[in-house]
Amino acid sequence: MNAAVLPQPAARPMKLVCPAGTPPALKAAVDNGADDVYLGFKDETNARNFAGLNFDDRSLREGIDYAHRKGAQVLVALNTYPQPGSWRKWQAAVNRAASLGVDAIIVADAGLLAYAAKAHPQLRLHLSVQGSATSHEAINFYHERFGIKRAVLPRVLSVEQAEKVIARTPVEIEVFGFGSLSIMVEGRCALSSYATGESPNTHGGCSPAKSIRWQQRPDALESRLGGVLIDRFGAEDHPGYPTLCRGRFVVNGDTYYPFEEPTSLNTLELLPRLQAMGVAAIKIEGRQRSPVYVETVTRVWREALDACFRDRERFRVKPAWQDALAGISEGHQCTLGAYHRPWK
Amino acid sequence: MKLSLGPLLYYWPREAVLDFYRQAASWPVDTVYLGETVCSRRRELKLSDWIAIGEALAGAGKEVVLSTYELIESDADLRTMHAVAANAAFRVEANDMAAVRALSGNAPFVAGPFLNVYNAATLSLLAELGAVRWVAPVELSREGIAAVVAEGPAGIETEVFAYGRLPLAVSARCFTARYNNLTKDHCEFRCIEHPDGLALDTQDGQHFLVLNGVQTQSAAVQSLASEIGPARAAGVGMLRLSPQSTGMGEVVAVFREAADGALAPHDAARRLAPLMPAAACDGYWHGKPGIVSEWGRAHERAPHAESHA
Amino acid sequence: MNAAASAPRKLPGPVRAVGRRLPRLPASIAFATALNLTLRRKFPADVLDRLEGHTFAIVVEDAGVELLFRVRARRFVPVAQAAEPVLRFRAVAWDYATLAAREADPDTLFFNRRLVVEGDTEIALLVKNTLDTIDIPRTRGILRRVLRAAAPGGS
Repeated sequence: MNAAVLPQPAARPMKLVCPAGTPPALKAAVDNGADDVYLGFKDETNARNFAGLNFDDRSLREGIDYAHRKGAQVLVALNTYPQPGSWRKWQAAVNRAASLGVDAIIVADAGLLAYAAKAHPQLRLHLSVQGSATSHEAINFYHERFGIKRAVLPRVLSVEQAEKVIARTPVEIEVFGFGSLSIMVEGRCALSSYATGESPNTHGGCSPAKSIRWQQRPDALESRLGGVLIDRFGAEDHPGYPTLCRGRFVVNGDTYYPFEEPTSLNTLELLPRLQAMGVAAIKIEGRQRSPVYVETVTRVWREALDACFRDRERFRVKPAWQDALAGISEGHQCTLGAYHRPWK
Repeated sequence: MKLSLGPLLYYWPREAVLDFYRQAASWPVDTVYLGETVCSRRRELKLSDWIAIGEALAGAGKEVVLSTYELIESDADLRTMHAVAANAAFRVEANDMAAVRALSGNAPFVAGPFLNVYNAATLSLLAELGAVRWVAPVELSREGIAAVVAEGPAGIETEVFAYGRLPLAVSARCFTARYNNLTKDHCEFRCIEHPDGLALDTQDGQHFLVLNGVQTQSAAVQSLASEIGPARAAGVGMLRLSPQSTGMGEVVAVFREAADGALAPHDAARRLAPLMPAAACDGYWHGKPGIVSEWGRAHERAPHAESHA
Repeated sequence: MNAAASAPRKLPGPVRAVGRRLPRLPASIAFATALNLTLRRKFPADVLDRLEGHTFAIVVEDAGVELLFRVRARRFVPVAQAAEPVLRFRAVAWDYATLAAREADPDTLFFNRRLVVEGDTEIALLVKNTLDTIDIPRTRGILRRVLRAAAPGGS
């Protein structure tokens, strides 16, 4: 990276926002240097509504205590769309989060934001990536109406586009740094419900486990979602979780990945640029992943963020970081995704 | 029950578009949505062209609405959205919150299907901001729509996606370009070769999705032609029919007759079948996976069994 | 990362030979007993209820051992034969140990086909997530030390 084109060093380091699906993951995140930990309740009010995952009131209270003792903040994701007839459930989740003393809630639905802003004016609001706000004007809409303090950018913008957004909004901008790569605009994908009846927007999960079938055939391992064949894996292939946008399908006789290969997003090499343009926080994906994953990613990104903040111009991605991240990535490739324009 | 012609989701040659809307002027639809909503690189028609088409349709007695982009990425996208929002001639359908912001306080608008209105609180908010009609997200079931209408603000009109391949997802990446080993910035506008989308099958031969540039649609064609009574009971006031390249006039005629009670539900389904580019589906409406055809299960001897194992 | 990220280490031949000759039931009894001692009280009651009546198989491939147990009345009980377990896990002993020590990430082992899971995906996720929730730092500490000692070049 050419030092001459970089603007002045940022006054504040970027925050590291790490996932926690379980209390041990929360501890792993806090112990390894997360600034913020985000998590969800055990129901469809969050977009990682999977069996056995997430927090009840007691484990959340303990988690908040633990994080606060060590100087970290806890953000609760209430980032699904309240479904007709069950508004009270989402409303109650906002109230619970507020009464437990979380540091912010991450919300997608405009109606729920309106409620939270009115009922809990002191509660800090973040706009979820599921809110699909892809321009500064959309983000400013949520700022003007509900006073959101931070917005998570959907993984669709190039670095240049993200930079323009940041320059034109008073809202802190959080971007995805690492993890499973969303191909579709978050909050705008119904592929999962088309095959299974459940999607992130409606039920808080993509490709629900109960709709997945693995079948070992003589020649291949098959994965199906809601009966739809997503992929067939030969002996040498590496199977991935059967989400539709990672499937192999046939278009005009060509069998390939029409949407995306199983890859992970990894933006370590962009850190100096992201810091220079004023990104407030870097988000790590993976509330459904294990404490080992959280520990590894948090440790690597803490080190990288500190190194970048100390000396942006001399920042180099260490091979050891990439090795550690490759060891826990889905698929064997990493990509810059939409940050790098030719990906589109 | 009113009928609307949804915005054209595909990329057709200019002449084909002009011809389509010349014909539409004589179809029994109440409202026509115009404009490019999918991809800002599609420029066979400029905003002024769309407005000219709109004027002709308005002259034929149609309500004309201009729709904004489903996904805004660049400054140019924002400028186009503002030009649409500020047009003096026609009402606007907002498909993202930047468009809502541009319209609120300035003009009544239609809250488009991509605004994710899943509950009455969000609908009330949009109504306060000036929405006079909302289009339900495709995932929302009849029961869900009825609940939102019952709990929502009075006087707002409800529209549902009643016919066509379902727009299921949008991406920053162009899948038609990817199929052709091209990047979006150098896509050679290959969408124009696929007037009803580029078919995508599973490896065991199930017709599953179609690629439409940055948009992904269902391969199956959603049809609620046999559900007009229940739609009315749920509070739906307008049925959206999504343009396809052939037989659209016939499709409109079937829906008009069915809505007027001149065609029994079973006959409507039977007449539509040969007009569809693929099998029918209606699962979302019934609270099931969208790909399912409840009508097919209930009324045909051989339902589309390959669609759902 | 750590010991787990490297290639799996197979049990030495003699151990395998012993493993194959072990009758299945005693091994399953020992395993179920160990589960009841270490994990049972850490498993939430609602999760045990969800697993009630289901049989699970854990295949230690390099030891030639298949451990079978069922959840009954919120306890793990050994089983001699099972027609079709709701879940069958296959891996080598080393990978199971690194998982238990929380040195390895289960998804990574799965993506690399070192951990094979057959059966009901929803129950598999429930089990995985529940195990992730459980903190047994002492047992893990011991396991980690054993693994470090066993790893070639380990400290």
